[in-house]
Formats: sequence, C-alpha cells, structure tokens
Amino acid sequence: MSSSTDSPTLTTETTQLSPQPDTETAQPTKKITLKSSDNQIFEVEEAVAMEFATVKSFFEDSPSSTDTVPLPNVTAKPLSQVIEFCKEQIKFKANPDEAQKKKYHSEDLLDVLNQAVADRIENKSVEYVRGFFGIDNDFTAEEEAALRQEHAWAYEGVDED
Amino acid sequence: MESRTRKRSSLNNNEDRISTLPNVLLHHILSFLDAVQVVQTCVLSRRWMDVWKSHPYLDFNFETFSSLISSYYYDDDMNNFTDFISHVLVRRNNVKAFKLSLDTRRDCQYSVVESLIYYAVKHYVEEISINTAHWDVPIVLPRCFFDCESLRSLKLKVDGGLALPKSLGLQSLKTLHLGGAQNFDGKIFSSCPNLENLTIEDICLNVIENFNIHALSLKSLEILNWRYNRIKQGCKVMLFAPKLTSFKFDGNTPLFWSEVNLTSLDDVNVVLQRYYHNHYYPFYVVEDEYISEEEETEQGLGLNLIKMLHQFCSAKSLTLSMNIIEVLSKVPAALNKHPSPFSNLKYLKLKTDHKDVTLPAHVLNYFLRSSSLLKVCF
Repeated sequence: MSSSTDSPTLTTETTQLSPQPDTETAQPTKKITLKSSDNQIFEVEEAVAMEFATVKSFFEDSPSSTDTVPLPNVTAKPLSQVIEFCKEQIKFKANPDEAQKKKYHSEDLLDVLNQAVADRIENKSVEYVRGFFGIDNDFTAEEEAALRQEHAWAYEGVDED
Repeated sequence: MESRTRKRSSLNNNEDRISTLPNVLLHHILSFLDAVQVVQTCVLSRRWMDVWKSHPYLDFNFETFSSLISSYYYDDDMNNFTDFISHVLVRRNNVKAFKLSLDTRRDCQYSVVESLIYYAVKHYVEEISINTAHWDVPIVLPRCFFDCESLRSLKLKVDGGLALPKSLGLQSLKTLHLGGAQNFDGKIFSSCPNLENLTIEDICLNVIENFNIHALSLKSLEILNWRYNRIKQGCKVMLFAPKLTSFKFDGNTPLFWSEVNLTSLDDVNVVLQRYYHNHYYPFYVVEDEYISEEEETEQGLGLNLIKMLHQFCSAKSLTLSMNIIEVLSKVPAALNKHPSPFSNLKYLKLKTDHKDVTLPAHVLNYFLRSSSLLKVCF
C-alpha cells in the first residue's frame, strides 16, 4: 500500500457552495417609483418595492398601475435606509449561504429596529431613558420614591445617581 | 450643522417617541432585555407603571442580575435573585406568558426551578429554557410539567444531572434540547408526536443496555458531547426517524447505531473531540482485519470512524472535523477495503481553523470514487 501513502497530497481550493448573486443581470427589471412625504422620488426595482407591505397592497388593488406610489408616513431619510435594508434582505434570500456570516440579515426589520430601541434602554439610567425618548415624568417626587420603595426588590443595591 | 440643531430641537420639543406605542410593540422591545431592566421601567412614567406586569417574556439571568444588583456576598446575590423571581411571579398580571427562561450556571435551589415550572404550566408558556446546575442529586421535574400542552420548545440543561420520567407526553413540543439527562429510556421521545428538532447533550447512559430513539416526525438530531466513559460498554443505540434530514454529532468516541433507518438524511456533521493516540481508547475488535499491535489504537479508531460514516450513506452533504481526515489518512488499507458508500454526496466540508490545509489524495479519492460531482470546501 506504499503507493497511496506516498502519493502527493493535493491542495484543494476553496470552492464556493452556491453561485454568487448576479447583481448585473442582463434582463431589465421593472422599476417602481416611490414618493416620500417630503416629495422625494425613489426609483427602486420591483422586487425591492414588494418588500413594503404598503406598496404590495397598492399594486394588488390596481395591478396595472404605473403611477408613483405615495408614502405619506415616511420622510426621505428613513425611507432610503429602509430601501437599503430591503435590498440587503433580497440579496440574503437569493444567497443565504453567503449571508449567514452576517446574522442580522436573518432577522426582520422589526427585530432590528426593536433591538436598536432596546439598546437605548439596556444599562441606562431612568433619567437617560426619559431624556432620550422624551418620556414626561408625570410622577411627583414622593410618588416616584414610593414606587421605588415598592419595587425595592428590583433595585436592591443599585446606586441612585 | 444648521440642520442638526434644528433636528435636535425638534426632538427635544417633541412629544414622547415611545410611550404612545401599543403594549404589544413595547413588549417586543422589552423582549430584548433582562427581567430586572424590564421591571425597572415601571418608574419611567404612569404609562409604564404596569407595562412589565403583562410582559410575556420572562428572562431571568443570574449573571445579568448580579451585574445590575450587586451585594457584597455571593450567597446574598443568589438569595436576592431567588427573591426577585418570586416577586415577579407574584406581582405579574395573570396573563399568558410566552417564553420563560432561567440561566444560573451554578447551583440553584430546586424550589426556584419548581416554582417557575408550575408558573409556566399555569400560564400556557410556549417556550421554556432552563440552564442551571444541581450537584447534590439529579433534578426531578414535577409531574404536571409533562402534560403541559402549550409547550412548543423546551431546553433543559442541568449540570449535575436530570432525571426524566418514563414518558414526556408533551403533545405540542417541536423542539427539545436536553442537557445532562441521566439513564433514561430513549422511548420517551415517541410520546412527543410532533417533535422535529432534538438535541441531546452531555448524556449519561452508564446503566442503560438499550437506548432506542423513536421519533416519527424528527427532522434534525444533534448528539453533543457523547463521551466514552459515560456510556455503558455494549450499549445498543437504535434510531428510528424516517423523516430525519439533518444529523450532527460531536463526541470523543464514534457512535454506532445497532439498527437504523435514515433514508431521508441529507446533511451530516461529525466532529471528533480527540484523535490522538491514547492507550485507553477502546477500539472494537474487527475480526477480518489484521492490525499490528503498535498501530492497533489508531487503526481501530480509523476503522470505527469508517464504520460510523458508512451509516450515513445517503447523505448529500458531509461536514467533518479535520482530525477525522487525519485519522482516515492513516488507514489507507481500510479505505481501500471499505469503499465509500456515499453515492449521493455533493458537498464535503472540512472544518478547520488553519488556513493552509491539505487533503491527502487517497482520502479525497476515497470520497471521489463514489461521487464524481463532489465539491470540497473549507
């Protein structure tokens, strides 16, 4: 069996499991125009636009429409960020193996946003949280002290500053 | 700069950006936080006073607790933690809880685990995750637990041991992760008709002769930290899971099925925890092979690994730890004698931390002989 033990070792190249998503696809894709509440126009691919429930139902109601879709609840800046997110989300769906490295892609937008909000509460003082979110403290000083006393079991040892 | 100032001021004058959200969204946000911080939101404003009381996710983590609420002595921390849990359970509104988790990583009073389980059953919890330790005696769970019909996902990991009943009877259970379970009958899984994902970790079967896993709906099985000295010698392991598509194994000794039916298996992942020569390695005597004495342990391990891999012959994707390849490369004769049965194999993935890895040609040929379409990746 000397032949097999002596045989040269072969270096195997890294092979990609699934094909790279073809971002420069030849076939033209349908574009959809979105309009933000501050009248900015965004032209996006149909697949990206369909990630928006509002846009999807707009075209379900009038399938042949070529109109601009008005989005009166959102201004340009967050809309552009959401569009970027949806583009990434579509890439992820097309090529899950590649995107597994980036865990956040697998979570939906609501999870990403809520995690971001939760980060503003985690390990922050009550004053910080009130200030950051604009929560109006409608307790009197006595009421708040009484409330803390009542929940002392959840504050034991916490520095009050 | 100008726009920034404007934005700032608009934020400051602005009304509350969070309190007008419905409770269901606030609860989703709070689900990312530990129970202590969830309760502490009660002093923010009147709107927040009772939000935590209907919060459906209860996440009790001792480590987080003691980092937020510190006392001088460690034992006090544990007492405070136990007190905290009972305060939350008593004061919480009597509404459904969705997920309940307890993570202590050190010995905790059994009464805490017990009261959490009673609470979970009573409040139709769908997910339970308990990760704790109990070193005196194995934890025995209350009987009522195993009739909990709402439970869909259960993780029970007890360092020190967990004693299981004869039957689980969890009708809705889809995902089960057992850690530290001792000497139980594998038939208990047949009492969970909807079980799809099963993880068995740190199992101890030192007095069990026959371990039969019988799970008709099972799709994914993971057996982790399977250790030679915790399994009775000659213990027969049987697996009947006709829908199984994915199997993961991590252990220091190969696992053999005495009887197995894995026709739909696609994806197999095998990690060997050790591969080096060890005099105590208990190889199985193979009568039709001559093994020279000085090589017997390594040869024995190699043969046993080949035998183990042969049980996954329908796999399309095989992931192996690199040390398995090393062991296989040392038994070229055995590779020739037992040709690879992987006729469906498309992917061979090798797990390694090193950048420059070589796959010995005779090992590669072993896999290529049965499957010419094979792709190898690291």
